[in-house]
Amino acid sequence: MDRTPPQAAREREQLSLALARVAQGSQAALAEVYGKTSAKLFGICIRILEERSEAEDALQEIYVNVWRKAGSFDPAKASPITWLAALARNRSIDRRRSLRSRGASAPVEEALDLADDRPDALARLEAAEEGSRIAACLSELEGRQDRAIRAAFYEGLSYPELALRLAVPLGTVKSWIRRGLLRLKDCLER
Amino acid sequence: MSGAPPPPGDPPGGPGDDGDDARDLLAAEYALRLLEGEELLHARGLAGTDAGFRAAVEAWERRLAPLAETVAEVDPGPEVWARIERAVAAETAAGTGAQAGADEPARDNVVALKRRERLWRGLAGTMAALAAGLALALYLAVAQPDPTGAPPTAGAPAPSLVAALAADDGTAALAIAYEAERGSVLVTPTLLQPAAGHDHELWLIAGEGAAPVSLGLVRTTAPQRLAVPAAARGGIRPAATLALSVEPTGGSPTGAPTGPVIASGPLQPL
Repeated sequence: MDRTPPQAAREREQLSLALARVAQGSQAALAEVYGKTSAKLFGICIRILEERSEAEDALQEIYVNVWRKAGSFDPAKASPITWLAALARNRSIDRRRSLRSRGASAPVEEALDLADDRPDALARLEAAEEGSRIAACLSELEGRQDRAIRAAFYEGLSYPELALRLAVPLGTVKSWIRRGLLRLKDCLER
Repeated sequence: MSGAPPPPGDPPGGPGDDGDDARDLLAAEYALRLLEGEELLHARGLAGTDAGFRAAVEAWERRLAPLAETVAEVDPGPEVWARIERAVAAETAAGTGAQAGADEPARDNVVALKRRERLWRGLAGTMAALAAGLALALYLAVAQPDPTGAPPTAGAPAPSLVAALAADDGTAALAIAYEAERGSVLVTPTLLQPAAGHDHELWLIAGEGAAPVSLGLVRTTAPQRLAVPAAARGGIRPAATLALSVEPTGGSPTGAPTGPVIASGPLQPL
């Protein structure tokens, strides 16, 4: 059920229209999309890549990709900001893993402080009001399931990286995440 | 039928599993980008060939996507936009295969092609015949300086080589025509599903054992022109192979195909 207020619905429609104009070759429309979304997407890149210049390179690649594949955005299937955010997340993760496999020195991997990644009660309430059911459902999971899934999503960590970061065996983190995902799906389908 | 869940650490989706649950978990793990190594290759292969799996992945991407809403915004500063502008302008210029002076604007071509695309989608016939016909029709369309439909000027050369790329299971098809004068290929996707988080990349394999050369990313919904790098043009000849692979968004990070090849076909004289 779509509970987005009228303002959000209007913004969503304007962004979808701008993407359609990008698909037709309008660089001005790309500038509009950038103006409205770059801070959010840059936030996503920074969270995953941790280093500003890497995040800038990723952001550049992301919007060049938006230029190339705006035609594949289908407003019936997704909201424009989630489509863009997914592009940003995927590109940042690709870049992060490519850096790692090229042997680039990794940013200092601090042990993930499991305590500080869960949103507080107010943020959860806001998420619930915005219609973000997944945030509400995540908060119903066991703490370590919730935190592991969030680390995967927000930090872009793979299973082996998570095991390292959380200092637990690979099998353990897999079982946390799998159980968490099953319960998440149940909760979302209620 | 196995009653026990797989031991922790084993990839789901293997033999003896409770199939649907395990497959759906794999789809979630793939959407979350948790997978590496063998598991990742397995899931990527499924995503390239199994529409049901792809749908499960997209469903998970939709479920998870709202999490991004709470990420803190960070101002990237003005320099990044300047670089994007330059990159996009450079791509546009390259995409027209700009020659001194004479070309009609690239966007008019795309609009004309899009109008014809609706007709093409309904065409029946073998893939080879389709590709040859499409390639010729495409070429005639862009060769017209007059958008009202006057016949091409005498002496406008037809494309010399065409290819039809089709997946075995009918899930993907492309018609390709090589335009020697422009040094580019005209690509028309006739049946290509956009895959969230992935791009389709086109490769030229000049001959047996030759290393694939990337010709770029293929949009799934519109005809487009891809420049063939000058160094690779010698490889465009009959019996060279064109192949389409599924790659991470933005294309292969390594310069060689990293994902499954979902369609391929030989270049043939028209």
